[in-house]
Amino acid sequence: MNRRDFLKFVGMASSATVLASCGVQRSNERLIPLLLPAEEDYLPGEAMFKPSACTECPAHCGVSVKLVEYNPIKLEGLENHPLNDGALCLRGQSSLMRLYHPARIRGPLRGRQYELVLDQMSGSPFQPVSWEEAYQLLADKMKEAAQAGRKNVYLSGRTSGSLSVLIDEFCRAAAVERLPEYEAYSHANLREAYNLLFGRREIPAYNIENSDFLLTVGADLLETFISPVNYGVQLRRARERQPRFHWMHLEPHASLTGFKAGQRLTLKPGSEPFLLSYLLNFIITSNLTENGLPDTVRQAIPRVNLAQAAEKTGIAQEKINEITQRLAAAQNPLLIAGGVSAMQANGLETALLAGLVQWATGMAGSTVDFSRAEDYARVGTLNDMENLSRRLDGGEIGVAFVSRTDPLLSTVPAGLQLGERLKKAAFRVAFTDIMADEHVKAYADAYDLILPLSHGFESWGDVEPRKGLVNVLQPALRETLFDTRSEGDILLSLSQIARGQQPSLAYKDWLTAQWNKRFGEARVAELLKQGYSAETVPPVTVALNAAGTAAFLRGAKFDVPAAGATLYVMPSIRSFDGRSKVLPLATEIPDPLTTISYGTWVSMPEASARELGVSDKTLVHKQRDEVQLEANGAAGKFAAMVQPGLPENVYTVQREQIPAAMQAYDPRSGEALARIDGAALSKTGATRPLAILAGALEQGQRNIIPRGHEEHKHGQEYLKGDETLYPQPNHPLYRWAISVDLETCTGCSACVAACHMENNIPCVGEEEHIRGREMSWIRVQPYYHEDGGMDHLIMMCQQCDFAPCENVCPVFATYHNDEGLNVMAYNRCVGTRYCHNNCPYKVRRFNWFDWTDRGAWQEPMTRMLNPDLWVRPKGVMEKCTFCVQRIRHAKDRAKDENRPVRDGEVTPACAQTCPANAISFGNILDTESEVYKKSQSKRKFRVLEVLGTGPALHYLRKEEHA
Amino acid sequence: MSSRTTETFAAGGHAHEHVSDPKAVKDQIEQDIYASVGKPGRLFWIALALSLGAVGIGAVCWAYQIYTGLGVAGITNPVGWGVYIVDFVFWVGIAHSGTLISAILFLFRAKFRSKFNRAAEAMTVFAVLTAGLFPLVHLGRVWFFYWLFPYPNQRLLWINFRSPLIWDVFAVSTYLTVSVVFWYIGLVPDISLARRLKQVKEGKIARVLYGIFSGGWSGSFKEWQHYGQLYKYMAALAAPLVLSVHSVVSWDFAMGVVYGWHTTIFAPYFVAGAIFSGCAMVLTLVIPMRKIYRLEKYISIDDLEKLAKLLMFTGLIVGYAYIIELALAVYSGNVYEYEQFMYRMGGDYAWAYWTMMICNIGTPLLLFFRKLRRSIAFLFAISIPVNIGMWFERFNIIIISLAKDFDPYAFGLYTPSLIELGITLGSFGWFFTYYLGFTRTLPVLSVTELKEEVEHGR
Repeated sequence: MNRRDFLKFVGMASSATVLASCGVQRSNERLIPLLLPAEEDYLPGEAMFKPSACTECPAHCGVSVKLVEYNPIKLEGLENHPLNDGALCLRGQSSLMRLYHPARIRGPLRGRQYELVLDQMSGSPFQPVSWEEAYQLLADKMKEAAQAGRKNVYLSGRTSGSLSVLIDEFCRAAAVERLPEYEAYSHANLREAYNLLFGRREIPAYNIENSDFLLTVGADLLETFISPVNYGVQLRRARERQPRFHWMHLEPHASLTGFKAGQRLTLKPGSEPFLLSYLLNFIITSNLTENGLPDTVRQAIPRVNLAQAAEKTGIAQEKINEITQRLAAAQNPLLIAGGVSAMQANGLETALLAGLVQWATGMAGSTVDFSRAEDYARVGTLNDMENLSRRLDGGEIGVAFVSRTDPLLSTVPAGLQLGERLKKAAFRVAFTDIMADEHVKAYADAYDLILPLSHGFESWGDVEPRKGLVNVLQPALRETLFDTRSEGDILLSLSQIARGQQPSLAYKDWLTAQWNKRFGEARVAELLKQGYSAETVPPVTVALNAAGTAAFLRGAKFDVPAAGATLYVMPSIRSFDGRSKVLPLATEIPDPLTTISYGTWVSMPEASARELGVSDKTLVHKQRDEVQLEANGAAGKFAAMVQPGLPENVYTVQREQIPAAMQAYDPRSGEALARIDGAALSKTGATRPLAILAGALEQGQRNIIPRGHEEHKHGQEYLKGDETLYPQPNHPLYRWAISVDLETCTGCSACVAACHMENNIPCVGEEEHIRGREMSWIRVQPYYHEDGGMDHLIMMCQQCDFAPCENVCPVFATYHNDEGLNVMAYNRCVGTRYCHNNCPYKVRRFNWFDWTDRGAWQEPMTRMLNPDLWVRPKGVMEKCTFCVQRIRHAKDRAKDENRPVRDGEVTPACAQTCPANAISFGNILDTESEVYKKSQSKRKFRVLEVLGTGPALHYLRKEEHA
Repeated sequence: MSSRTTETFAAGGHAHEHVSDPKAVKDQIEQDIYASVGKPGRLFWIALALSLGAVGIGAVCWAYQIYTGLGVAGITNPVGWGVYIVDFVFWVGIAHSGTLISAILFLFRAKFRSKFNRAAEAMTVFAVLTAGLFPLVHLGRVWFFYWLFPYPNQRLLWINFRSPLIWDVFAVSTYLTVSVVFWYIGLVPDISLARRLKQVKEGKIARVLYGIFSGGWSGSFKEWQHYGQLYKYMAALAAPLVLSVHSVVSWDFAMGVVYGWHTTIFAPYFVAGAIFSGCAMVLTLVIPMRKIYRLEKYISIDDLEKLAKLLMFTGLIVGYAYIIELALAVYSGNVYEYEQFMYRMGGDYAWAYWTMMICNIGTPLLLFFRKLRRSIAFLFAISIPVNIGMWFERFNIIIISLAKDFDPYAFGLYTPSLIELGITLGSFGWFFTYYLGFTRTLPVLSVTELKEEVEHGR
């Protein structure tokens, strides 16, 4: 190169550099110098927390929204909240995905098939319209319908708080009839029973935390029943407060709640009234009545003696005696009946007898608290839906508003044909948030107009899950992600248009006025900061309606024995009634009883599987036999799954997975039936893939969880595992450790969801799960024992002292740090997977693909990513780090204040969300720390300790085996 | 040239009182052995095309895997190593007999080695070249493969010498270097000789290449003297490597905590297995070569029988190791180990286990029959199941041990994907491409040594 060329190159390169640095890049817009005072809720790089409420299910727990630069990135339970006290369930954790769901509706949509001209160019059955057009159209249609003498109706999901007031106002202003709300789990029998007994069609608050003996009949407290996180928190408190607290659970099937109760007893399907009648007889004869039972009622109670009760229920007499003895001995007993036991043909009887027990033993008024009743006042039943169907058939309905509920999907019994009949309304408008691909056709068929709702974190609002408890919703994002509005704003605008005014009032202002009225202006600011208001409520004394109760009892049909095999239709802990199925994480996390994530299955006892000739191949084979299930005149094909602990001739299936035609309901109360008799299974001969994540559900001889008997076979008894020739690792200040209490752990899998959300763990989908490539860093491993018991082993990286993964890594990508953590330098990993092979706990996760490319975080879900962590690229190993980013934050804070990190200052995501506080994290070198104290327990064991790995996870086994 | 002379030679070169003219014999040897060097026939081109086609398939599969991610392979949780590592150990094992035959048998003055050593050494070099691909293929981020080497860098990052994978890097690269050098030293006089060939003289490139690689060898007495010493020295240097390489490879597993891997018998067990599979591979390669290149005069049935005896002997060691492994699993009372071996025998991969048992224990026993041992067709036939059996041995060790290790929740199955099989096919193509090239460019038997034997025999 000569001199002139050289100068040319230099000149070109330098001018290119100068040019490239010109212009404003998008990322520059956000640069905020810290010299200026920080805007509210915004400090660059700093996480802020805003209180709000979870609206994923009717329980409405309080949440704290973690915001980074206006983007909510994680939800945590709100500390000290009366319901959930810092905890949050699997669905609550996942519900942030609802905000960022790629299938969220981006703006108002007009259904097109009614348009005269179809736009051939676009494949979408919808046409975007502006909000003004949508309002005008709606107002015109409402007027048209009124002129045609049709009734405009408003159907919504369960609504509470101010929004409910506004709906009433709107309905008055616009002459719209507000229909009873639709909930798949309306608890109609339970409410009807309390109505018959006490004249209150309500669900009381159950005061578990102050009870010393809890008897539950069918109620799935820990899964979906009314307020499961609250019950989980209360159970934990009850165990803490009452050393003699005992929980007995009776159920006709097998549920997570059952396995996690202190004692699980199975009874024959439909035999609940006999047990409860026997209890009442026992209460009367042993003079345990506190509130007194009028003679008319006494006489109407069926006479059941011990032998009859035992025979009918199939429970051994001594067990029934144990129930009665514990009931008699308890100071504050509590009986909760519900779930599948209340949702059967004699469910109303069951609920009523249970209510009578509550009355007779004085629970009503103490542990059964009507003053803080759950707000189900406007929730209708399936009878109301039937009524709506009839009116639709009669052509009475003009404009049908359908808000926050989905009558099209499988939760409504097919007999009502609501989806079909809805088309008979003159104009249908849906207020909803997500339209997944599989919904498009159904929505296009059903709705003329779809108005997208803002998420709770994008709008103002409040919810009142139970009397005296108001949760405030306030926007966490600065602006809505899409062109969406809150239901309040929509209704206000519509009311104003109906009155002939221009829409002007915002829901926020209307709501503030409501709050000012209710709480006083001074308290509102505080309310917004606290996120909720727990008011004292006047006590409610209930009185027994003796005449009504006696009349019902005399006419009741208690004995509805199962004919043939019984199918139980259960709600799912992952998707509730099916509504959370749309959240990718809620399906990615496996069902805690079967470890199935994707696919549809019917659970059956082993005996049935043998009878059917369903293959007994171990669970490592993901191709399972297919069975045809016939029930209630409908049929469906499912994969066969053996559920340990399921009584003979009982099958279970999840509500979201069965065809609508299989649903049934009780016309007496409008309750959906969970128990369907005369179910039949047959093997189709085909197989289908089922994503079962476990390779086995029993530990055999392995003693992963020590079960009391001989721990190790000969040759190993002298090996404790801490013998080593190598020097002990040096941990000068901290040695982080976790303890997991298997006694209190409920297997609810909230920790798994929290871990996913905190650590940017991708949802990889069905195909990869079937291949065994789940990415979760923490697993809830069910182990069924031969004695009928079951444990959930929470498996995560054990951060071993002598980690087998560390010494095999050729490039030091994983190494032991001086805080005992087995840390991963993702950047350094070349992907030999040797560490994974050599990990006896198999907790390391390899990035088989670039999951982002494969759609793990479609826009706008990228905004949910935690900026404190990498999204790991393909070819890199990853694993649990005990949330090292949180440890870092705490250490930084402590360093600023020149002190060591205090106990409780760091909580990993899994421990933070646990309703049972089963997971404790801390510095085990600190003898005052909770984790140290727990590690000294007699119940303590470490998994595979005999290998000499020196794990930092200290498990506490269940009491009876300690 | 009388037919009598060659017959005598074929009988072992010891009954030589009738050898009339050693010069003629040597010329004949030269002519016979070098006959293969030069213009290949149609069969060669077909074989080469097939091999290159296989390489192409493997390359496409690998490129796709690098682009998409390792997920396209069947490996999963908990089986993090699959066919790639099986292939790696298989090829390293194949690579073993070369050095054994050339170095150890040379030191022990086992005469029959001269019939196989060139082919076996070539096989060794190519097998190591093939084996060396697999650690790269199985890496999650192969573009950072150089991180496995200790090189100074400004980030002050170093490698972990505690990791058996690093030992592997050194063991395999050392082995490759030494076997290439050893092979080359043996070749120098023969290459020099090749310069005299008509076809080499005519080819422009060939003349230059043979010239370069002969390194100016003139065949002087002094050169021969040095050569002899160097060869002995190299043989001594290479001999321990025979034991070390496969011992180190076995420690990839034996150093792990996984039951089925974690056992002290692995090093000798692997070395015996490697020699076993190496001998089988030599038989697989040499018997067709002997036929195609008409080398029956030089590689006699007696020679093959000796190799067969070696095969039988190592096969017995391997069989012993299998049984000892089982016995220890049962005797130890260790539930994990016990269940692992029960699972091998009766679980999802029992077919692979019994394939291994039958191929590796059953077939070598047939060699006890002298008649079978001396049947060339039978020897070729038996070499194939041994190769297959040894491949499955590694499959059993690696995959079955990982499929069920400690935590029952984490049990899982592995099925090789088409990509993995494609790359495996490619590795065979890669190996045979080299090997075919070798048979057409270099003398497949050591002319020098054969001549030497004639000379010694006089």
